[in-house]
Amino acid sequence: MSESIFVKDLNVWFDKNHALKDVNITIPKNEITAIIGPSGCGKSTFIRCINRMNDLVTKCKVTGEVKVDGQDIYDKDVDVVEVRKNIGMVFQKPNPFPKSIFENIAYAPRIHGKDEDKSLRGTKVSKYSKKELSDLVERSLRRAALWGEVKDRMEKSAYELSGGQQQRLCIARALAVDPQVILFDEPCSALDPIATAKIEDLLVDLKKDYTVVIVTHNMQQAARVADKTAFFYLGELIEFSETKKIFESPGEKLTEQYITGRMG
Amino acid sequence: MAHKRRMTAKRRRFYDSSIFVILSIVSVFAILVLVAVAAFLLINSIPAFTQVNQWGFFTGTVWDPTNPIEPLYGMVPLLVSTLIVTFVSALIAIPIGLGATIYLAEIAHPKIRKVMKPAVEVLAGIPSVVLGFFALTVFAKFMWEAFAPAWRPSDYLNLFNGAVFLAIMMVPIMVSLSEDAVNSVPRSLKEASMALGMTRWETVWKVIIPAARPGIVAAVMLSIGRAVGETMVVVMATGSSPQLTFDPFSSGQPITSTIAIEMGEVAANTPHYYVLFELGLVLFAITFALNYVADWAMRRHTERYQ
Repeated sequence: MSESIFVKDLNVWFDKNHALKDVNITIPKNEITAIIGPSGCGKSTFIRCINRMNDLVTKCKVTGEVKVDGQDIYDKDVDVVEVRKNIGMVFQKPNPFPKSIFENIAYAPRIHGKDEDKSLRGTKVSKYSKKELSDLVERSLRRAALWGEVKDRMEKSAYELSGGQQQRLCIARALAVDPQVILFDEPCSALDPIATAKIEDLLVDLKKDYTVVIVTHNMQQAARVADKTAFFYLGELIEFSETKKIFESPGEKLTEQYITGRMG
Repeated sequence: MAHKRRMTAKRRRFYDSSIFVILSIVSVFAILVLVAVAAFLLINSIPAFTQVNQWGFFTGTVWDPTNPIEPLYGMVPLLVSTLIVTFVSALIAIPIGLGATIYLAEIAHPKIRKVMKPAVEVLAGIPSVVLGFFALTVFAKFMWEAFAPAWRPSDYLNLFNGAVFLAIMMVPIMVSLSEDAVNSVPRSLKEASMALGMTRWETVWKVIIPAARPGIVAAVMLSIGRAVGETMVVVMATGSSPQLTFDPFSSGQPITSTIAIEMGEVAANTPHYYVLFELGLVLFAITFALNYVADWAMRRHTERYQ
C-alpha cells in the first residue's frame, strides 16, 4: 500500500502548552487508521494538523513536516483552501448548516466550482449547471448511504434529521468536494449504537476510495473498523501498527495498560 | 428524623411557591405598565376622535394647531418628517452597524475586540441631549459652511442634521445586539465551513451571517424603533418647523418633537391637547409594529432551525 499522509517531527504548541511532541507517522492510502488514547493526549490536535484546522486557533504553533500525497501542506506556497478541499473532515457533533438538506451538500461545490482537469487543480474552474449540481448532491448522498432516507425531502431543513442522519449528511457534505482523505474526529460520540453501526459500515465502505483517519474514544470501534491503529499518550505517539497487533500483542507497556483499561 | 425531614420538605415547598408567586407578580406588573400606558394614551385621545376631524388628521398636510381662525391638525408633515429622519438615519447606521459587527465578531484581533466592544457600548450611554447639543452647535455650523458657497443645506437646522445624530445613537445598539447574534452562531458551523475549504470571507458571508440573520434583523428593527421614538436630538437639531417637506436638508418637525414642544404650552382638555395624545398613539403603534416585526423575525428562526 502506498502512503497517503507522511508526518515527520511534528510539534504543536498552544501558547506554552506542548501538545504534540515529535510525532512521526506514515498513514497508508485506502486504509482506515484509528487514533486512540486517553483524553487530552493530542489525538484531535493531531488530525487537526492534517487539514490545518489548527490555523484557526490563535497562539497555536506548528513545526515539522506534514505531507499529503507528497506535498508539504505547511509549505509557504500552499493554498490552505486547496488543502482543506483535498482533506475532508467530519466532527464530533453533527454540525449541518442551518439550510436545507440539498443546500448543505451543494454549498461547497457551488462556491468552489468544478475542476475541469484534475491536473490543473484550481486553474480551470467552471460553474456547475443545475443538473450537474443535483447529480453531485445525489451521488454524495448515495455514497454516504443517506439518499434513500432523504430523497423525498431535499428542501427540508437539515435539522429535521436524526443525529445519525445528520452525521451521514456531514459525511456526504465532505464527499461532495471530492477529497482524497477524510478525517473523522470522534464521529460517533454523540450517536446511539444503531446509528454508530451504520457510520462504521460506511467507514469500511469508504476506504475503497478514500484514506480514512478516525479519532475515537471507543477502543472496540477502533478494533472493529481500523486497519492500523496509533496510540497517543501525553502528546507522544507511543505505538503505531496493525490494529490486530495493537490489541492482541502491543509492543509497549503503556499501550497494553490503556487497552486493558488500567489507564485513561 | 422522619419528622424533621417532613418539616424541611414543607419549608422548601413554601420557599419554592413564594418565589413563584413573587416572580409572577413582578412579571404581571411589567405587562400592566404597558397596558396602562396604552390605555392612558387611548383614553386621552378618544375626545380627539370626535372633536377633531379624523380624515383631516390623517391626510391633512398642514399642522397649524394655534391658528386663531381655524386650527389645522394635519399630521402628514409630522409623519413625513419622522419617516425622513428615520429613513436617513437607518441608511447611515445600517451599513456602519453591520460593518462594525462583522469586523468585531469575525475580523478583529481578540485584543482589539476586548477594547472595542465596551467602547461601542459606552457610546450607547451618551445622553441624547448631549448629542443634540453637539448637533445644534457644531455639526449644523459645519454642514452650513463645509461646502459653501457651492452648496448649503436648505435650512441651517435640518432633518439630515438630526438623522446623523440619530444614526450615532443607533449604531451602538445595533452593533451590541447583532454582535451577540453573530457570536452565538456555533463555532462548529464555522469550522464545518472552513473544513470544506471555504475562505474566512465566504464563511462569514454564506454561513455565519445567514445563521445570525434573524438576530441581525431584530437588532436593526430595535434600533430603528429607537430612532422613531427619540425626541431630544430631533427637537434640538431639526429646526422644529412643521412644514411638509421631502427635502432632508430643510427643517422639519417629527412627531416626537411636536409632542415634546407643544404639550408644555397647550391648555388641558382642548382639541389640541387631545390631538397630541393621538399623535402619541400613532407613535406607539409605529414602534409597536417595529418591535413586533423584530420579534417575528426571531421566532421564525427558532421554528425553522431548532
